[in-house]
Amino acid sequence: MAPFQAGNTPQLDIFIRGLKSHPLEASTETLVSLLKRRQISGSRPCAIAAVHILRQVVAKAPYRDVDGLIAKIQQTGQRLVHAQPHELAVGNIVRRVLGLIREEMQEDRTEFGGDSVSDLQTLCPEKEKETKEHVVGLPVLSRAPTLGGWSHQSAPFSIMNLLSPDQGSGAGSPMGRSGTSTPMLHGQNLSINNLKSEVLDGIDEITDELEQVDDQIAGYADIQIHPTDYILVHELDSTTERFLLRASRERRFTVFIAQGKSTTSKAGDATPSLFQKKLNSAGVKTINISNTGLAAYMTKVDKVILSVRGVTADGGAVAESGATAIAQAARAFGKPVVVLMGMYKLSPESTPDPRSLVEWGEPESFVNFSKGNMVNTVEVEVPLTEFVAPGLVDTYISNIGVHTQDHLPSLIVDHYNEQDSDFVLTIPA
Amino acid sequence: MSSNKGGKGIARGKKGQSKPRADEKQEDVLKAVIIADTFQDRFMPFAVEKPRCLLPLANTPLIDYTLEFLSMNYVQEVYIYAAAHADQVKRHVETHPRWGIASKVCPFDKIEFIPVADATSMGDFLRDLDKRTRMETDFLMVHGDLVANIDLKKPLATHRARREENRNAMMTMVLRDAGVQNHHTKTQGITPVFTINPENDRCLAYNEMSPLDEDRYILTETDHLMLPVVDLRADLIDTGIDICTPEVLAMWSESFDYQLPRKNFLHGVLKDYELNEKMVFTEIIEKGYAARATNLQLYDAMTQDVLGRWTSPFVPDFNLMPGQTYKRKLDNVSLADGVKVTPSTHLSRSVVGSNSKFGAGTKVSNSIIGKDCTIGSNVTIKDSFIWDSVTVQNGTTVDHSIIADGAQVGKNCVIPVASLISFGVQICDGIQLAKETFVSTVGPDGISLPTDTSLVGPQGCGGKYVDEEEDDRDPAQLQKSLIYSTAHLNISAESISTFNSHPDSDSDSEPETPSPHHHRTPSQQATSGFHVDAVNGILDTLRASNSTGGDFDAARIEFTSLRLSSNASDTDVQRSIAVAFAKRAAELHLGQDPSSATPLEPAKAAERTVSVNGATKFLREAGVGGDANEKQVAFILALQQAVAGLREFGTAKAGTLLAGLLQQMYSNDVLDEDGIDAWWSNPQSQDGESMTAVRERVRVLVEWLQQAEEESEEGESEEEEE
Repeated sequence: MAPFQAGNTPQLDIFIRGLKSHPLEASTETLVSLLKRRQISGSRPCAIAAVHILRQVVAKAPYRDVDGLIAKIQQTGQRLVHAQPHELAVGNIVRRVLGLIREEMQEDRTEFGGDSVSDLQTLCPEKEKETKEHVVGLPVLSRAPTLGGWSHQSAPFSIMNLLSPDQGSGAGSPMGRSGTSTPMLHGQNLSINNLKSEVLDGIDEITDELEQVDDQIAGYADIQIHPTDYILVHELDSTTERFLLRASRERRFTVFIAQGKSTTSKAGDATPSLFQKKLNSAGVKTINISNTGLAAYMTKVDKVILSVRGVTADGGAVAESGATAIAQAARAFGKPVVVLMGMYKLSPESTPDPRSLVEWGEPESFVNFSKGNMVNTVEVEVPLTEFVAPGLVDTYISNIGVHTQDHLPSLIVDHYNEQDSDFVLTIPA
Repeated sequence: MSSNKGGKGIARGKKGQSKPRADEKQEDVLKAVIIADTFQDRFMPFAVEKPRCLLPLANTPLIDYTLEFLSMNYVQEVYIYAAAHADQVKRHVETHPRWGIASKVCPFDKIEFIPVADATSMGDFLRDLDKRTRMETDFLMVHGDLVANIDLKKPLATHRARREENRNAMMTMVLRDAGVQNHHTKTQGITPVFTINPENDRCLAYNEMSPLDEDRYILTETDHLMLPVVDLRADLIDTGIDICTPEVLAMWSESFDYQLPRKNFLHGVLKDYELNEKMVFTEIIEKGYAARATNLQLYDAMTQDVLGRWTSPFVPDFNLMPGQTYKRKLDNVSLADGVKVTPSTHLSRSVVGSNSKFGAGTKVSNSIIGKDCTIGSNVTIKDSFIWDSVTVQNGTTVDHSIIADGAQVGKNCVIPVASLISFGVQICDGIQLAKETFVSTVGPDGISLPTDTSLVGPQGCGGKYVDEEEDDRDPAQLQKSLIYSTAHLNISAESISTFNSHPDSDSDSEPETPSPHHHRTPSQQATSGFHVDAVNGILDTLRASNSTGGDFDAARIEFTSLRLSSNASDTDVQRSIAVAFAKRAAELHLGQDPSSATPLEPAKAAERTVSVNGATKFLREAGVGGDANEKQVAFILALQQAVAGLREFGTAKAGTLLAGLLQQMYSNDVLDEDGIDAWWSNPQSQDGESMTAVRERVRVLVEWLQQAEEESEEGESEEEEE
């Protein structure tokens, strides 16, 4: 687990370390603040933080049944997404966890139906604890007409029940049934602790996935990068770096690094970054080019690799600003554009208004605040990200394979539960 | 902290026994004091009803920015001092969803209110804090009107390192470099000037300048100019963030009369360095935002900075405070939930709070609109600040003004530049205010103002707010309006040179020797210093020249430079020379001269004094300074006073000495008959007993002179007749 932790920001480390000792609510609020203040930023740090806090919700939050758990996760998830609406990864992680819970629930139900005796036996020691929940659960069995007669304790539960069947039956999908199917409720109650540990295991798997994703994507480097290729990259992130370094083990190629930001750190540009040194020592030539002179190099380029913050369901990419110009130039010259994305970056959402995904930064990276004439009179707008339209990307490389735009919907179905696609809008009980 | 990031601290490993924040250099807990009262009246008329720190900047109360800034920097305990409206501040914080007592999510371990009922200045707060001994280690001191996004980790670390090295490193001030150009976030009207040694960032002196000052220059200590490099910086934004050691509080207690943290405390502590040996350092940050809304102009500027996103992450669409729901739309417009606009409403570069409504054809640009506001149709709002629950009806124009909570403005009104409409004011239809009108329902003393129907219309509510005392020379006066202007002031455009050039009639041929210390203290002090130095200098020369043959030319150069540097007047010069010569003569007469111990007769003593090589020339040119009778009279008067003031003498002896000196000066052409005559008849020469007694002794000489004059006149006339 060491490799990705090394790249964590101090704030993320402090946050993760503090999780144990702080109450859940305080941790959640801390994370919300950190996200709002952009002290944790970047899609993977955000995703890691989200996984950790959701794990805490599963482990610590009080809930009586699966629906309660789902509601808790939705609640926390909404707060996280509102805190940083520009990082699609946060919402994706929340959906993954929700999907995980639903999946476990479904498995439980089938298990329960098949092997109820053994299930009951294993639960025997916990029977006393569960009795109370049985009592609550019992009226549910005789459910239908007596809404008013329900105890106040089950009130939130009832609202979920009212909503879920509508969604399920409306969609007519097989997943709809997994929401809350009444006959199995006593089973859920019995197996809630079982489910909890299952879900925690599942969440740990997501954490593992987040750790390994760069390595897995890098596994495709050899296929994508050929000897003597000219590769154009833009705004390196850890995934792209790993990808190129892996390729450099066996291939000799040249990398153009497009400098998107004409930042104030001019001096920094002159000295090659640590990464460039690593590439150079691996025998890969690197050439820095400025964004303005980019089109001139495009004829030479064999492949454009974009690192992205997120990919929408229709294939559009949220990338660092400047990416659209590169993608369009590549399209004009007929060069393939490859997007590297961990699965956590693929969102089931298709954004109707791509502009809302643009994150605006502070002008300080272009103009120093001490330049009074500029500050007084000039409005400096700094988009940090921009939306690369779906048609401009040719290939998507994720940790599970190489895909085209047409594959994305099936990937989404594999990873997310349809019910959760718009959890941000649903009002949990 | 990077050393700490092994695998084991990570939460996934269940055995990680993580202590909270064990990674931070554990200097116990980081505490901060917020001074939430400023004892100023720059935000009138609003501050009469609501304290400055609760006024909204881009729809968030100022103190929330301050608290959020502290939480960003992992401050754990916060103490809030407030005097006026302390209850309001307390209520705001305690009921706040983020900071409040009921909130489980408060990022601080503790927020404590310390009310000081009888406080009249910031000094009282800090002396109170000292008594409470809450601060055992370094702490932060900030003001309740601070907006900052900087990371204090580095300043804190350097401060601690410095303190380790030297116990006397008492305080570190965080300042923001704002460049030499005109900058709207710099304070106008009062410019802070920091004298800094750039080699170790030590602040050596602090001064404030204002266009209203009589003297438009800064006094620099000689010691500071001896340093290889010294920076005098007027280009800094004082963020008011001070990293203090507990000694700072002790210092405040010691100096019981200090009121202001900069003008009094900092200035005083630095000035008395030799006494207290405490050092203050600066941390000049060049990245990030930090500024204080100390007056309306800065309030305006900082709102522009928020709109320009310089304050990121303190921008509306990051929704830092719970319950905020801003979303950024086109044209840099941030809208909260529930805002209703029509298709023909045009918004640009603005922030609009939740549930505000706009009518058709309304234009809003570069403005902040609070929540629950109702803005009618065809309203134009430009560069303005509309706070919560304000109603502005159809056809009204608001230009660069502030309209406070609950105010109502009728149809077709004109609210021109720099108007301030305070809480609950109602303005009727069709009213046109004059520029810079302050309308309030409450007067400066907190008593409600009678409604002035000629100002706000028949059904209106509110009167013209006028300040109690207006002191035109107070630079604070320049900061009370939303717009900085010195146009209405009568500021003389005389020389703003740092060097006081004196219109000098006695044109010494010597070039003005530039002395290395261009310093000037208030004139009384300066000339008395000059007097002592000058008298001693001349006396030394006189003594030396008596024995060695003298070097009066060199003495004169020294004298001239001394005089220029301390800006002594002609009278001062004459007085000093007169005293020096009188003393010398007395010395010789009493036999106190080290070279010749024998007492001399008054006449002889006078001769020995005046006839020294070069002394007569010096007397002529520097002492008397010309042939004009008035100058001679003045000099003789000075000499007379000096002689009369000699304590060792009776008046009789003194008179004889004066007679001797005058005679010598007469025979050496320093004085002439007309001069002595004029002196004789000058009433000032008989002013007081001792003066008259001394004068009597000179009678013989005067009579002799008058005779001689008559004779010579006769001689002349005879010659003419011939």
